[in-house]
Amino acid sequence: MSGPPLQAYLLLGAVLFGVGLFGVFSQRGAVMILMSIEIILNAALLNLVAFWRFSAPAEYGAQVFFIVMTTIGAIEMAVGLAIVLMGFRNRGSQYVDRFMDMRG
Amino acid sequence: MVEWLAFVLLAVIAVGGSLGMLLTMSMYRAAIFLMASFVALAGLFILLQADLLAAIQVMMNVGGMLVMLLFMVALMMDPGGEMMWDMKRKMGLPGFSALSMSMPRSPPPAEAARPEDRPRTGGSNTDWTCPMHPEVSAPGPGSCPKCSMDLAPRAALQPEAAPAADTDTDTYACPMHPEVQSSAPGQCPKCGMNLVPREAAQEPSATTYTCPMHPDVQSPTPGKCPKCGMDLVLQAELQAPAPAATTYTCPMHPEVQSSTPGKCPKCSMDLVPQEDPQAVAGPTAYTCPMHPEVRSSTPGKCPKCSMDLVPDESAAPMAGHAGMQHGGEGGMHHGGDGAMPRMSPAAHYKMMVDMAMSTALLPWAIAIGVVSALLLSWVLLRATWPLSPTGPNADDVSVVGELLLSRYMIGFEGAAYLILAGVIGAVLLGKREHRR
Repeated sequence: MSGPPLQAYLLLGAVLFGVGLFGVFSQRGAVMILMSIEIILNAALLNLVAFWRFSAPAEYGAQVFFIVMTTIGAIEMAVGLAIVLMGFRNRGSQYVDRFMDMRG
Repeated sequence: MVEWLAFVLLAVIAVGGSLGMLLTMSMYRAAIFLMASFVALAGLFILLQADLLAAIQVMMNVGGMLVMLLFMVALMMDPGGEMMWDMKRKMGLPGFSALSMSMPRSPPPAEAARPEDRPRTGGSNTDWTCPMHPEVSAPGPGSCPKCSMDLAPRAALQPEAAPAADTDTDTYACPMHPEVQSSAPGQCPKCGMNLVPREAAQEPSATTYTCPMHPDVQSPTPGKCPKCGMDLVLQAELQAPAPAATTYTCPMHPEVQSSTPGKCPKCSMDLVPQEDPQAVAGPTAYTCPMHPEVRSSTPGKCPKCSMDLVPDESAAPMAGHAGMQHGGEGGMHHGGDGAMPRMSPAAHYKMMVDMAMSTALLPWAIAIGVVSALLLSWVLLRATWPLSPTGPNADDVSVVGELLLSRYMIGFEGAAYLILAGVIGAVLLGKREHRR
């Protein structure tokens, strides 16, 4: 194994996680927040694949786990977009700071 | 060595793409940045010898980001960022033009002093009453607290006798809602508290919010106008300009002039008051956006391409020049090129808030991101992980497929049923809502 060690991939995953977290907290648009959540999910999945490769390469169930998690991520995006769309219909904007008051 | 190079390149693209998505003002660029970041991640999967996962990553995420882009185009007024770019350029805002704008740091400007003899806006229209119970008085439409009938403007019910409720000396008002007034004691229709008498009429407090289109709608809290759905704004902000000849103009399209607040017909932005009472004449020359040599003194269509003629901005510089004589209270940095109208500081602040893409807590978000990345890397790097001596077996190409089809099939069957249920539910709910 002459390539980068496990720690390099873990560090990259941590950095991507931080970028995604920054996006979730800093963005105003709901769609941008959903895309930042995608970044966080992919950072975790990068960690998963790195651990599969370096710690247990014979266990192919980890790859199936990756596929399932990616599918769940796609479904989560669909549900999140549906929520954003309904919120947009109700208050006319996707910016989350308009969601300040709870109304019946 | 090659692997290290590939790793560094892909890592830079992955992190740079994610950061670029968060910092750019154009939504198209944001989606493409994120696609690039995910494709770089797929490249990293190939480096990790998980080729199937790389293919799945590309397929799922590029399609997913396209869907995100579609939603952003549907939900945003300015997905491409041209309006924001234009505005940053015209107003001479500092910073790289392509970066998105953040919330303004400075607090909202202090409200301008209201004139003492400000005429009561709306007159008799500010008083809504119940046809059965004329002592009920409310600032907007609603239901009568006594009989639940719809309230109507007092002027509509009693055209002649429409006393402004706040000039009565025996006015009763709610301690919590000073705009609720009645000539007789009773209950506040909003909170049920007993109305208390007040000696003199009170002006709406500094925290009264009103609708730019319907000045009779007043509320102590920000929200939306019950008549038209527009955002309520501070009443002081609307009345700060001279009430006589206030023109409202679009920050992006200064040729759009209107005597009433509303939305720009070209870009649907809120019109802001222009502090220049001289700029009401309007443009005198019209030209085609595609063919600047086409000129006309009346609006119409370009003879070459049939586009609508737009007012020629260079023919109406007097608005900007005249506005610049009024001092620098507009809060703009360089004064622009003369085509930007002068705005009150409150309207300018509101516009900056509207255009911002990141919240006011940007430093906190940066801190949280950096601290979490550091914490995570510390936790992951200090541990000694069990390492396998051999890599993946190159002959096991089809193992994942076999696993999917045999052991893990139940998961995909469940997912398929869930998707089916979701689609059917969406269709049924959509039909019900459509019928309603």
